[in-house]
Amino acid sequence: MRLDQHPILSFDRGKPITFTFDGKPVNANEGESIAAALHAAGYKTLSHSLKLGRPRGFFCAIGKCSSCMMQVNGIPNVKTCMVLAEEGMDVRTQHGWGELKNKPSSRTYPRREMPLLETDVAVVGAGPAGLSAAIYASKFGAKVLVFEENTKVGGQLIKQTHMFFGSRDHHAGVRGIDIGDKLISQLGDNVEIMTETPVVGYYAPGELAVIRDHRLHRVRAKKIIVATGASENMLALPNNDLPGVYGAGAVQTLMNVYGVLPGKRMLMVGAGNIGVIVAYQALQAGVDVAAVVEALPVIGAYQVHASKLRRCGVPILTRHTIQTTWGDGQVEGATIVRLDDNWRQIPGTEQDIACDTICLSVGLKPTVEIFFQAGCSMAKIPELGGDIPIRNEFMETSVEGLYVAGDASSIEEASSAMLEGRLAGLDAVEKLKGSSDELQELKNHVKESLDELRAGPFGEKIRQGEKKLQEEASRL
Amino acid sequence: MTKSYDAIIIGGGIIGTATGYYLSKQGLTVLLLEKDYLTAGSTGRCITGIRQQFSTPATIKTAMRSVALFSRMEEELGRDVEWTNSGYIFLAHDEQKVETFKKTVALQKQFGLDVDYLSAEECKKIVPMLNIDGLLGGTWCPSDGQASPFFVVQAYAENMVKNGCEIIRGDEVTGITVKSGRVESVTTASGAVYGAPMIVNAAGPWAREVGRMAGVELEVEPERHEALITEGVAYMNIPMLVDYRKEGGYFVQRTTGQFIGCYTPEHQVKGRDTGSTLEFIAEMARRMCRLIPALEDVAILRQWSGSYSMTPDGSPIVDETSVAGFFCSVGMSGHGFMLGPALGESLAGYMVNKTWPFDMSEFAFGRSFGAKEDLA
Repeated sequence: MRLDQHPILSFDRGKPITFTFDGKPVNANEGESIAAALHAAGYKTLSHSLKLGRPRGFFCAIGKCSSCMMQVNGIPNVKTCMVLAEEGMDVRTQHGWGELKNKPSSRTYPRREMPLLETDVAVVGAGPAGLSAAIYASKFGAKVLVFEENTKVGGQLIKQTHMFFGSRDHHAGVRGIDIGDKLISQLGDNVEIMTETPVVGYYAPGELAVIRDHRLHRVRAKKIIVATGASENMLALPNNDLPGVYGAGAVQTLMNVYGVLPGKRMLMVGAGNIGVIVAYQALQAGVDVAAVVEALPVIGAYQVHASKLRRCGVPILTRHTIQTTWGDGQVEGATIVRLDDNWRQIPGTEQDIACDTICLSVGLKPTVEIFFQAGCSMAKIPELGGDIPIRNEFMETSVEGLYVAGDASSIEEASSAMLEGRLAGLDAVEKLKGSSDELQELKNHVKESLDELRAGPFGEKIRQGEKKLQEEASRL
Repeated sequence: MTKSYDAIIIGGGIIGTATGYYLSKQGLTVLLLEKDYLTAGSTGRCITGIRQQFSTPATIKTAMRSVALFSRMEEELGRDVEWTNSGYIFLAHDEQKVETFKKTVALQKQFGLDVDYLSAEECKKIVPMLNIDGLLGGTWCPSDGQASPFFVVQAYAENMVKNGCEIIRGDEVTGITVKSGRVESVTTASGAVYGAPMIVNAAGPWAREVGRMAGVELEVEPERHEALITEGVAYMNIPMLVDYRKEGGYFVQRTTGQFIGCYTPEHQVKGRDTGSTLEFIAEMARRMCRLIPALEDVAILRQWSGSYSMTPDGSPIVDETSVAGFFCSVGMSGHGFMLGPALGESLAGYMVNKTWPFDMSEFAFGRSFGAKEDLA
C-alpha cells in the first residue's frame, strides 16, 4: 500500500514502471527499491530460509540482514532492499540459495590492473557522522572521498521526520530529513561522494577495497574515517522470522523514504526514543498502533515523545514483553505478557493482540567488522552498544590513521554522531595539513559540545560507557 | 604431583584429534594439548577437499584409506561431517601434463583407485559449466570428495573424550623433558607438567619449534596460502577442479552451496603469517571465472589464509623420531585434512603395536628428501 497523504512528507513518485515477480507483473515507481515496491504490491514474503524453508520478509531495509535476498535478472542472492526496481526486471523468490545460470565462455578474462582511487581522507559511510567528517576535513584542505553502499546519501537521517533537540549547533528544531540536505550543501568542492559503492575490506596499511560499477577498486588513503553505523538487534521469541516482523529502521524506511505502509495494525516492542518516535510516525502515516510494550519498569524515551503518543490513545505498557507471534506465512498477531521484578513472565497475564506488523526497537549494535579486520584493539562495552574499537578522544583507533565516528563507535544519537564525525575529520586533516588557531579552536569547541550533549541524566549511560572505554584505552 | 597419561598429543587439528581418537579406541589414556582452540591452526583454514589422486604408493594408499574412513565417519563417530563423494578433476592444458596424468592414472589404478583419464569433452559432460578452451583432458576420480574440517575434528575430539581421554585448550606446550634419550613429560605455559612415555608432535606449522623442544630437527617450513569462499548458490555438484596452469588454482562447490578455493602463490610467502591480500581475491576470482564463467554472478563472502607445512619432498613425516617415545605426524604439505584420518589410524597402530598397515617408509623420519610428489 502506497501512501497518498502524509502530514509532513510529500512523495515525488518516479515514473511508473512494471517488473515481474515470479512471472506476475508488479507496478512500481522509479526510485523504489525492489523490496519496497513488492511490499507496496502486498508481497511480504521475499525469500525462504535455507534449512527449513520458512518464509522470510523485509527486516532491516539497509542491506545488513540478508532476509530479502532474491534472484534478479538471473543473478542469485541479490539484496532487494539495496537495488532499485527497473522496467522489465525479472524478480524471483529464492527457496534457499538462488540458482546459477550457465554462461557461454566467450570472454578470456585477461589479467587487468586494478583501478586505483587516491585521496587524503577516505570516509566510509555517508550518514551524519561520515558527512560531518567529510565537511570538516575538506574545510581545511583535505581531498575527501566518501563511500556509501546505499543509493541515497544521508544514512538514517533520510527517514527521521521528527525535529531534533539540543542547541542550534546540533540542528535543534530541524527535522532529520532536512539535516541530511543541510550537510550535503556544506560539502566542499574537494569532496566526492560515491553511492552504491560498498567498502568490502581494509588492507593494511591505509588501503581499502571498494566495489564500484561491479569492479573491485583499490583505495589508497592517508587517513580513513569509518562511520558504518549500526544494525538492529533481534529479539529471541517464537516465530520472530515471520514476514511482518520488522526492525524499527525498516518501518521508517518503508513509510518515510518510500511512502509505503508496513501494514494496518502494529505492535511496537521497546519504548526507547526510537520505539516511541517510530510508533508516532506510524500513526502519522495512518497505521493503527495497538500498543507499545517495554520490558523495563520505565519509559526510556523523552517525555515529550511519549506524551504525544499517549495523547493519541496508544498505551505504553512497561514491564511487558512480547512472548510469541503467530500467523500463517505472515504475522497475524502476538501474545504479550507482564514481567515481574526479576524479568520473569507472570503466568496468567498473557494477552493476545491482533496485528499484522511487529516492530522491534530493542537496541542497535555497532557495525564494526572493518575494525576487527584491520586488527584494531576492541572492547566490549554494553553501555555503548557492544563490541567497539578502542579510540582516543579524537576518535582515532589503535591502528594509526584509522578513525571511527557515529554509531559504529557508540550507539548514541545523530547529534553526537555529527560531532564525532567533525572531531575525526578535524584531527585527520590537522595531522595531514598542519594545525592552525582556527582549527584548534574549532576542535575544542566540538569537544565541548560533545561533553555538553552527554551531560545530564540522559547521558548517564554514555558517560559510564565512555569511562569504561578510557579505562580500556589506558590498558593498551 | 605430575599427572600421567599413556600418550600426550601436541596440537588440536585433524592430525592431533584423529591420532588421539584412534589411540583412545585402543584403550590408551591420552591428553591432547591445544594452545588455542581446536582447528585454529591449519585445519580450520583448509578448503575441505579430499583426494586420492597422488603419485606415490604410500600416499595413494593412505588417501584411499582416509576416504574409507570418511565414508563411514558418521556411522562410527555419530556426527554428520558433510562427507560427500563430489570427485576431483585434474585438468591438463599442456602435453606434458597429459603425459604425467596418464602415468599417474596407471599407477593409481594398480592400487584399485576408480580414476580415469578423460577427454576435454568428457570433462564437460561431468561439469557442463566448464570452459574447455585450451583443455586437452583431465583425470576424474568420482570417489574423491569433501567434508567439513570443523565437524570432522569435533567428531574425533568428542569421541576421544567419550573414550575417557582429555583435551585441554588454551594452554601452550613450552617444553619437553627428555631423559636418557626418552621422552618423559611436557611443560605448559600455565606451569603445568604432564607425564607420558609417548608424545606426539602434531603441531602443524609449529612442528619445527615443538621438535626442537625435544632436541629433534624436523625439516618443516610453513608457507602462506590464501583462500576464499563465495556466497552459496543451489548445489550443482561441481567437483574440485584442479587447474595446473601457471595461473591456475583449485576450487570446489561445497555441498552447502558455496565455492571455496585457493591457488599456490607465484612467490612463496614463508612463515606463519596469515594475512590476506587484495591481489588474491581479484586474481582468484579471475581464475575461477575463467574455468566457470557463470561464477561472474556470484559474490565473494570472505578471504583468509593458512599455513602449508612444507617438507622438501612434499610428503609428510610420520614416524618415531630419534628420541625414543617422541613421535611426529608433521609436514603435511597441504594435505593434512585429507590424509589425517588414515595417518592418525596408522600412527596410533604403530605406537601401540609397532607395525604399520603397509610400507610407509616414504614418510619416514630421517629419510633423504630426493624424490618429489608429482601431484603436489
